[in-house]
Amino acid sequence: MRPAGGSPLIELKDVKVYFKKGSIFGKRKLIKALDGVSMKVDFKEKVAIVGETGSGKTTLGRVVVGLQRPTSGEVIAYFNGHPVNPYSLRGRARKEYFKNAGMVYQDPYSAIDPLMRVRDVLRIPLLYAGIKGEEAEKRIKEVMSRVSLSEEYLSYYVFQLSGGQRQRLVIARALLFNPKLLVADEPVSMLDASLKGDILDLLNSVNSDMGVSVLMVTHELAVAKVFAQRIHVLYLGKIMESASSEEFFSNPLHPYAQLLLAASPDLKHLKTIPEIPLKKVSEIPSSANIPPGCRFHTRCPFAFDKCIKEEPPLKEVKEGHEVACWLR
Amino acid sequence: MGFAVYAQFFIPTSLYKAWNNPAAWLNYPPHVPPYWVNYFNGFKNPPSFSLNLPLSLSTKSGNLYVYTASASFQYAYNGFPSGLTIQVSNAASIVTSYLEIIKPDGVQVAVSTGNSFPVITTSPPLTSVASNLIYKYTGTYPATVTSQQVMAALFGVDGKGMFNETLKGPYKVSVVIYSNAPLNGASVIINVQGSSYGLMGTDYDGRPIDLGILMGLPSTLLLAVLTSVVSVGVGVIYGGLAGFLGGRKDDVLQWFMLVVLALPALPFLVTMEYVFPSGLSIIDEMLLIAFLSWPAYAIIARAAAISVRSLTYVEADYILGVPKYRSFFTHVVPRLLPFAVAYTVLGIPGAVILIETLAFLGVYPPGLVSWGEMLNSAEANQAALNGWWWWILFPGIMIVIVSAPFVMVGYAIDKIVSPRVGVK
Amino acid sequence: MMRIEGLKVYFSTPKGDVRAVDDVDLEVEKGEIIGLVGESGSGKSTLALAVMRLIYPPGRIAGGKIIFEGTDILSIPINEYVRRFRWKKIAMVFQASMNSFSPTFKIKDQFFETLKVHGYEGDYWERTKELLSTVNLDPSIADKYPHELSGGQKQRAFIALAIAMKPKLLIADEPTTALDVVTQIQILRLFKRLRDEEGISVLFITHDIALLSMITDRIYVMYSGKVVEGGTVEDVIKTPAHPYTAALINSIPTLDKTSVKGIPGSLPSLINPPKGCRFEPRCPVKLPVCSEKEPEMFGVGEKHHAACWRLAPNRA
Repeated sequence: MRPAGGSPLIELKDVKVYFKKGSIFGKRKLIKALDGVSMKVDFKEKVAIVGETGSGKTTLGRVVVGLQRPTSGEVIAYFNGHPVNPYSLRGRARKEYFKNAGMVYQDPYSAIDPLMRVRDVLRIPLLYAGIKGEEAEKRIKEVMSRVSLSEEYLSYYVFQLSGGQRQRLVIARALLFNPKLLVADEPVSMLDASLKGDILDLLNSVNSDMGVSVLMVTHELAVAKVFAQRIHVLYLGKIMESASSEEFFSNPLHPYAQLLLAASPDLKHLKTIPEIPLKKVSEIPSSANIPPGCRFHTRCPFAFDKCIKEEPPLKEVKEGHEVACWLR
Repeated sequence: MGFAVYAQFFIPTSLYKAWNNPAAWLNYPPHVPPYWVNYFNGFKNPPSFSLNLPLSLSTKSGNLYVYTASASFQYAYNGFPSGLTIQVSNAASIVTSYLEIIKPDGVQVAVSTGNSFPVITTSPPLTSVASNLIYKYTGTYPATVTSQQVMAALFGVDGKGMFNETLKGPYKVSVVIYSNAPLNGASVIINVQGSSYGLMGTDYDGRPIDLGILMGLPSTLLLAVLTSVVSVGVGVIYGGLAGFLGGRKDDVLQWFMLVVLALPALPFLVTMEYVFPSGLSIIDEMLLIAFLSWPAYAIIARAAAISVRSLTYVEADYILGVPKYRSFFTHVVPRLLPFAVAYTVLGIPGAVILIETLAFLGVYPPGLVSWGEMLNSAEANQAALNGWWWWILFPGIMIVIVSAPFVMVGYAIDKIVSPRVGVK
Repeated sequence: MMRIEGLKVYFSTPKGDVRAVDDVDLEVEKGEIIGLVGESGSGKSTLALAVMRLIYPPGRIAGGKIIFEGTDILSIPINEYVRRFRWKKIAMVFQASMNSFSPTFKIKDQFFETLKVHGYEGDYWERTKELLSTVNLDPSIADKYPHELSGGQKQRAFIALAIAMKPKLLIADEPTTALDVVTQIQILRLFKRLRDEEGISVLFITHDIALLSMITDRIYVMYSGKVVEGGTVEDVIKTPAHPYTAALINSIPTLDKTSVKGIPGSLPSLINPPKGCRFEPRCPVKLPVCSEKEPEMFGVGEKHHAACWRLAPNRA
């Protein structure tokens, strides 16, 4: 199942994250945010998790960064070279370990407290990690220049910065502890078009110059295409298709992936709304009510009886290309 | 506010003690309305005035010193004074004395005022004068002589109408004192107690209301401000912590908060007063009131803290290893501060009212004056029934007036400081 | 059908007037879908609000006309505007309109209320059913509460509300953000159908030019309070005449690209706009005159114009 080459940085094996929801009165619902996800991010790799709202992509990102304990399944991280299950570590040790992973949030306006000074945003986490004074100052200047934010901004207040600048600051903050991995949750979806390129460039350079792996979570396939080396398509908590970026975009196999591709923008076909292969205009099922068998069968135009009864496993059909579909 | 400062510093503490001592107020006309009512009712209520008659030695023979003094005044009021007092500053050695009043129409009223001072309106020397006059005009002696009758005798027209009409014009007063020791520099003070006094009138014991208002101000304000500050401070921190910590700790904190919230304030406080028979000091009272008030603020602070807690940057802090208490101070407190300030100011009027209500019911640190207490004695003395409106009106109004500016300031602060959802 | 001439919308602040919309000309014909694209700070949403006369202090209309079917809707008294135009001739779908439904009333109640307030004559229930089917929603939706519907359903329901009184113009401000791609496509299709079958013109406002490329007839590009380019969708996307448009197209990730390039620099101040071209500091092809004089609108093709000195360097 693993492609050859590249040493893994973090691996998820059949990770499930279930949430219990409901009151004492009503029925208890089980929300299956992640329903058995196996994937990995290699050293220095750029991976994209593509999915719509409700796919579980944000939860996946949070599992990788240490904010969400899996209900079941294994997480194995190699941040220090040898395998560790970080969720088996207790409190402080776990937090320390996860400092090797940084988080870049979606909304630059709420990811940093606007009332703080820029310098403090970076200084305080360092302080509580035991880095202060000159050493801290040096580190702060390092990350600021890494994200191309001029030092003069250090004395500003966050609310004086623009959206693009704030997002750079978010990335700078995530780089404070020299992480081996960055999880970027929709890092450009709230930015104007003219800024997207810069932030994506920045993430690219962080990856190539610093050797930091990036796990990008997004709903825009076009963004994934422009950035990632490897794509995983997530639907209702399970991976539907995995492939290298080149392979995926030239040969998408899963009907859901094809649907997403058809609906993604391109400027070649003007004045035409793409036809999307969808069974009927049906809504996405909720994660509390996942359809039996293949979870996509309710909307899949190609579904047949096996799809309704049995869930297809994620199978490698070509080297490095996996699909979960009975059609293959 | 200036008044409060003035009252705090310039009124001697002795005055406070004196408040509760009726003897100190003898010279003041009891339960009379403010002076300015005269403008409305055709000058029926003369103000009080004093005549200071320095004594001069007229003759001396052996051990007997004879002093005289005299003065004259104009009387133009349509109403009678309520009383008269005669005081001598050094009365120990006086043997006897005489008072003579010459009314504008020439009628002389002469009285032997003896040697027991102060002589007040209902003292026998004066009452017998009145009694005789009444007999002269009506043919019968009255069974008892009231102050009004004495005043009518002295200041009324001579004749049957002496009770209805005052005699206006120049009056001349003379005093002769026989003393067996020198009275150097002594003087006689004749106090004509009008039936109006000052800006706000007087209460049953003659205590001027305006003085009482002034004295009540600093203590009330001090107590109210202290109470408000403490209860908001405690409440905001408590609620902020509860909201921020969440989970079990939040539940426990909330439980306690709700218990306190449910306590009925007034009965509780009154009970406390009786449980501690020595009475409550300022600090005690403040602590008790604050103890009952803070939950209200805690609830709001908690809600605010909860909304902050779920903000992304708080979570980001956590990932980066910033301890929770630090997050609390960096993110939650600055956002709670402006609201805390606004509520402190707004809380003052509430505290004022609570304090005055308690005073009205009799719960108050001893040795202090308060408007509620004034209202209390007004009620006890049946002010409403007697038509002594000034006694009720002024303390009551003050309670409201003192609250108003705080409410306005607090409201303004709230407007400035609360985050408003703006356009873009 | 609607012509905006020289529109200026300013917001007064202690530091001076923020010129959100600064002398804008724009036209919408009957049966057209017009796209208005711009980033944050371009003034596009403010323009929409101005057409709906929803500009409140500290904002004000500082100049210009909006002539709708012969009447300058900015000059008539507000109650006349509300009575004759708002929601009857011109309607608007805001961003996240799906959150505009009151959670305590059923969908059909909110429809009835709207119909009543605007004086619809005819059976409310019939019209509600009609409207819901126009937006491809099952009439059973009407009996539900808003929280029982998905985001896409709510947005479509709101669009149905917006066209309740058969307006001539529907303004849609970012109608598809926060919705998934499939729903996005459905809404685009819906707008197309509204234009084809009901003759409603749509002014589609967004920052995502790729969306516009799918359904619009003509596009206007706004930058920093001004219209910098206008033309048919082919003209603007295939042969953009203004450097900003070109840079914008270059910066959006689409499937046909392998990389994107952002636009360096930042927006000029809206309080103290520069005296020359507003895009000049960030423009890769600027001329000396660009920092001196504001460019006029020059014609490039039949319906294509842009405000750039490069189009008429001899006039500079």
